[in-house]
Amino acid sequence: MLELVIISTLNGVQFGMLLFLMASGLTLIFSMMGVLNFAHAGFYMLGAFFGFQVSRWAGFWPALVIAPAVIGIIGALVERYGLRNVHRHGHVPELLFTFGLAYVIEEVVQMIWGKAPVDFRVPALLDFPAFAVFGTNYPAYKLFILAISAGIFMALFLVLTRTRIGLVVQAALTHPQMVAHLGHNVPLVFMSVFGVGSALAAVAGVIAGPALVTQSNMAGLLGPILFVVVVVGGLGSLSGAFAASLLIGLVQTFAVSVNISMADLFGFTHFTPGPGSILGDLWSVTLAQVAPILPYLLLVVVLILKPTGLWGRRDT
Amino acid sequence: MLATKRPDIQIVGDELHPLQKITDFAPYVAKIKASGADSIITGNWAQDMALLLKASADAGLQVDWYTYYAEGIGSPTAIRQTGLNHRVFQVGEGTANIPHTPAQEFERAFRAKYDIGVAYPRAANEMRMLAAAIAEAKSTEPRAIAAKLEGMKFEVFNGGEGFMRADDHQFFQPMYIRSFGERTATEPFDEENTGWGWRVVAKIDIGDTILPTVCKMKRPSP
Repeated sequence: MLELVIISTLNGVQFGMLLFLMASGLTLIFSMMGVLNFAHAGFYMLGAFFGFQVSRWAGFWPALVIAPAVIGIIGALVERYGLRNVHRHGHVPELLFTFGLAYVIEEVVQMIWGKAPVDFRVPALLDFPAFAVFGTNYPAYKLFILAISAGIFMALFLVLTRTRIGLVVQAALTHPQMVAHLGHNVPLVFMSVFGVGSALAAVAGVIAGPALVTQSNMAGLLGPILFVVVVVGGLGSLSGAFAASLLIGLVQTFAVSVNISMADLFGFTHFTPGPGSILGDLWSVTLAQVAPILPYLLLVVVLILKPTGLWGRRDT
Repeated sequence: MLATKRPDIQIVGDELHPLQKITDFAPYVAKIKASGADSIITGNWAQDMALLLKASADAGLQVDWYTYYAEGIGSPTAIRQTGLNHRVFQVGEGTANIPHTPAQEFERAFRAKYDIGVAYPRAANEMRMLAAAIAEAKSTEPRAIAAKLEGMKFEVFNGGEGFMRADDHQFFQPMYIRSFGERTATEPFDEENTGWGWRVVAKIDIGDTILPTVCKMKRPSP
């Protein structure tokens, strides 16, 4: 029992940190620009594929730097020549723009790399078990993911709350004209934020690519859970997204190890719907079987009880 | 049936998870480990197969995997990444490294043209049987074709005779259990450029695959 608790905690924290890594760019763009970027998972996927391609030519470590840089530039160009034009028409055109972009990215990736997964491997330097708990290995690569996620959280948090850059960026969202009058180039600020947000998605892609499966459907699979992280954490709250990622990682991981169903909980009532009845499945399904769906349940409950998210400060 | 045939085998766990929605199988691997299982039977395919194998390799889980779909696109790549050499098995109707000359010639030509392996010999069987039935019936009328397919004996893709049982239209043929890993000189084909290929470890003769049927098919009246 203790064994399962410790291993599940490790797994949960690890998955949560990976989620945060993927969601950090999304929450950055949302909190600083007010744009809910549907294409974020697309940039994550582009990061994974660029990382794969560069690692083929130059190895993993150059890929970890080059791919995010290239995606960052692509992101900045998307903001400059796409998003900026639709921005003045309000939020709905922005949403539709990023929504369409997500599909374009997926198609382009399929045309270049095909639909089958590519062979993106963990670098040899980190391909060993770091330590073992109760006979279960904990790979060094997962420790690396933890360290990068924690590092990015600290760096973002410090830049946004403790530096002049952060101050200007935050002010540009709420008082763009005032910031412009003070001599700052507001469009450039937005373009940079979008570029950095995209680059963060790409970092997540390069790192998650070898750990998960690098395939053209990876964006579609991951997109929804990122929105859960950002909304549950509180739209636009960096520490909220961090806490929500860990919460979702732990909830999901622990739920998998619990084989309790409604039938177990309410067995004392001697109410047993037949296997073919409407309630049959609902009654007999175990918590473990629905674990991956729990984050979405959490999303619905949080939106009903606290629409600003658990750590959110403002309505947007 | 298990209790009478193999009383030494014990089922220690049974899991269902949502289809193609799991990003991290580590919690499931922890559960498998806690159960003490030494072999796993899974119907997972594509991404679910790849992620499950990766998570178990990460955790250092050393077990044998008995699968139905480990040949699917992407899975050989994933098995190669995990380094599970000849520990992932699959049961199926045939595979490239069965030494049967016509099948291997077809395989070579197919790979030269499409750059992937013939993962599904059944697809070739279906087309060839359909063609044979049409030729025999001298008609493309569905009922005439069906009548010819009923009970048809047919030399299958990887060699050996198969037949379609008239009672329920089920097709029977020799089946193969194979494992994926390093190849020997007599195994020419690898998969997905991994260098690893499938090796036949057991053949199930057609007689051992046949179970009685209770099917009472309704046939169209002429």
